[in-house]
Amino acid sequence: MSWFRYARKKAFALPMTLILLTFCTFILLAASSQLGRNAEKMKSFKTSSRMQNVATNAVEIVSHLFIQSDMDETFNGDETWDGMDEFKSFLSTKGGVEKFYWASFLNDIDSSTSGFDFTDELQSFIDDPGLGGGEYVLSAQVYKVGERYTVVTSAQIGDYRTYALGLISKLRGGILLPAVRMAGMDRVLTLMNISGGKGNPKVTGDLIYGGAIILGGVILDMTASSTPGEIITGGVTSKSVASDLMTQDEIKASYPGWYTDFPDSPDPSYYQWKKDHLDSLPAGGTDYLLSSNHTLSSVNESELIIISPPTGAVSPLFRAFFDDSGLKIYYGDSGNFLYIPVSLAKNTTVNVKIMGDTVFGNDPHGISKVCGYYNISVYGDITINTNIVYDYLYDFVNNGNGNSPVGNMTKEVSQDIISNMLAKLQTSSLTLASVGGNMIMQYIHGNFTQGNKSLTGTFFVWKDSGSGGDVQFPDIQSLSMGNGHTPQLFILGSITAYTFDALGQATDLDSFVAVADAYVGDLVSSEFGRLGLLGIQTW
Amino acid sequence: MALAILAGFLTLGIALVISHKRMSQETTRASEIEAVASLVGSFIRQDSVLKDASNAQEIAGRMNELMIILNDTYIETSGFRDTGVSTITFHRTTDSEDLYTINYTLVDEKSEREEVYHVVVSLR
Repeated sequence: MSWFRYARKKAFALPMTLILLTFCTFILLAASSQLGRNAEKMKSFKTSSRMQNVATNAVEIVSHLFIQSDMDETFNGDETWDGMDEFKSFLSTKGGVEKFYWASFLNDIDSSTSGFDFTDELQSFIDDPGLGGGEYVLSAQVYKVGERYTVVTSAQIGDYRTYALGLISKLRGGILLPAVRMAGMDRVLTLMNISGGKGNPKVTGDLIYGGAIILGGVILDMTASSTPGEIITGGVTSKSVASDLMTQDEIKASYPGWYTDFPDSPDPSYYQWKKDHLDSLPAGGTDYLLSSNHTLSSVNESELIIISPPTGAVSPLFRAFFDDSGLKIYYGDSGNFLYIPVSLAKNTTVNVKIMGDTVFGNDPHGISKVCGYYNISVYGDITINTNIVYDYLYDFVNNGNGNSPVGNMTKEVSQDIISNMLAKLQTSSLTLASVGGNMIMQYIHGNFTQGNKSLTGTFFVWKDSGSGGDVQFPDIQSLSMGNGHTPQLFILGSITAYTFDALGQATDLDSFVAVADAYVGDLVSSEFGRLGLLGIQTW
Repeated sequence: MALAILAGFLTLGIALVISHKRMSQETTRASEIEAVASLVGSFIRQDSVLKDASNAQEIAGRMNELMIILNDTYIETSGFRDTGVSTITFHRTTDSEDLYTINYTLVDEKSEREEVYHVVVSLR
């Protein structure tokens, strides 16, 4: 008897068919459910992507409206938003390390905090396709956080909701200065590396925290696991970008928005920057000949204080000293000086024009504390024989050891230290420009912590009639390298020059760090800045 | 009878498998298009030349340049094929001369479908 005959006899076909039918039914149900799930996922993804775009567009619009409204800076708003706590709790559920920074930034804001409700203003543009053409429920709030404003927008459809957050801050002269602006820079920018103990870190490599404009081309030395954004965080505008690991096209494709091509000649842009700066200075002023002493009793921020050498002086050299009491400028070793008391500089921007080479400080290891608001133009070389540091950032430069007022902290630059420095309320500012001269960094001194050069401020080195424009390091090669110190140039603010180390002296400069200041402090006069949207984060 | 039901299930099953495959492909493609839309949107939003434009004529000029940059290199070198930008237009979002809505149309060259996306950009 065959198996077939046996099966038929035992009515095997019916249960087998039922089993197959059940199996097929399950397969069909599973496949249909998977199809439905895929379709739903896709719909959610598209909806969420569209809503994020709408929320981001809403930040652009509200930021624009807020800036245009020319709000009184002392007014914090008088409207509260019930959704703030919900937004913060939404934020806490999201991935990415940046949520911690934003959560920390929004720490002091909750549903009872007063702000500006821009929902109605935003709604008036609801028909614009950029806002979804009326498809979404939108809301928009603006809060003052320290000296900045933050815009929070949300877009909702059904149960889906997305948020976007924008940061509005003061921009100098209408333009946020990048950390570094150079017509040309031959230095190979290397990824920062930190070794050694916490007390004596060996910091090598470079970091530009903010944007950079290096018109003539930029050269990067990365590691296989790093990105260009780890060397220049805010992106670069340049004629070319060269790296040991990637081609220019690969960098452009892999890091969209990081690199902006600038095919033109560098000189016209550089000289335009120079013109913009010189045009921003007061046109006239009062002359002070340093053939005698002068102590100012008042200053006018719309006038220059023009400091000239005694009549007939050849190759005049000035010496300038910042400290708690203000600014003193001597003519050479003559003992003649001009003194600007700190009480004057605390209330207004002091515009100074020095007609000759000027040396700042007398100890490259020491700290010159800037107290107040200064805008100084030197017609000649500037030699920086000190650390120039805003009073409120002193502790970031001096470690307190031995009670010595010296710059003895090599900056192990991290998000933490930068956030802490930028979070300080700005009560001082410095703009220091050389016109027709070079900016000479002096390093050599003593046996300890050599090579920490910390500068805070906005620095310009203008080439004029073919002279100057370079940042130079004439003595760094003879620096004693005992204890494995790693010489560093740290700038908080911005530096603009025609060239950086054109003479190739800075091969021993292990680390160059420039951190863009988020906003400027010389805003005693409001003409020196306007609000602008710095960036948007969307969830 | 049972065989007829079985045949029916098999037919339905095969149709479902084909439909599932097609839908999976479409989902993958739709994800790609959304990714390109986001990429192009970010590119336009961050374009420094566009943000530095001072009038509508300069914006129009930049739109033409953007079409070339996006279609010739950017989209393809970013790893996406058979997708392009067919038009980029702009209009004022508000009465202000500093705020514009940029409308760009993405074309899926495989299915010949297209979709319009919008990015609001404020000039500096």
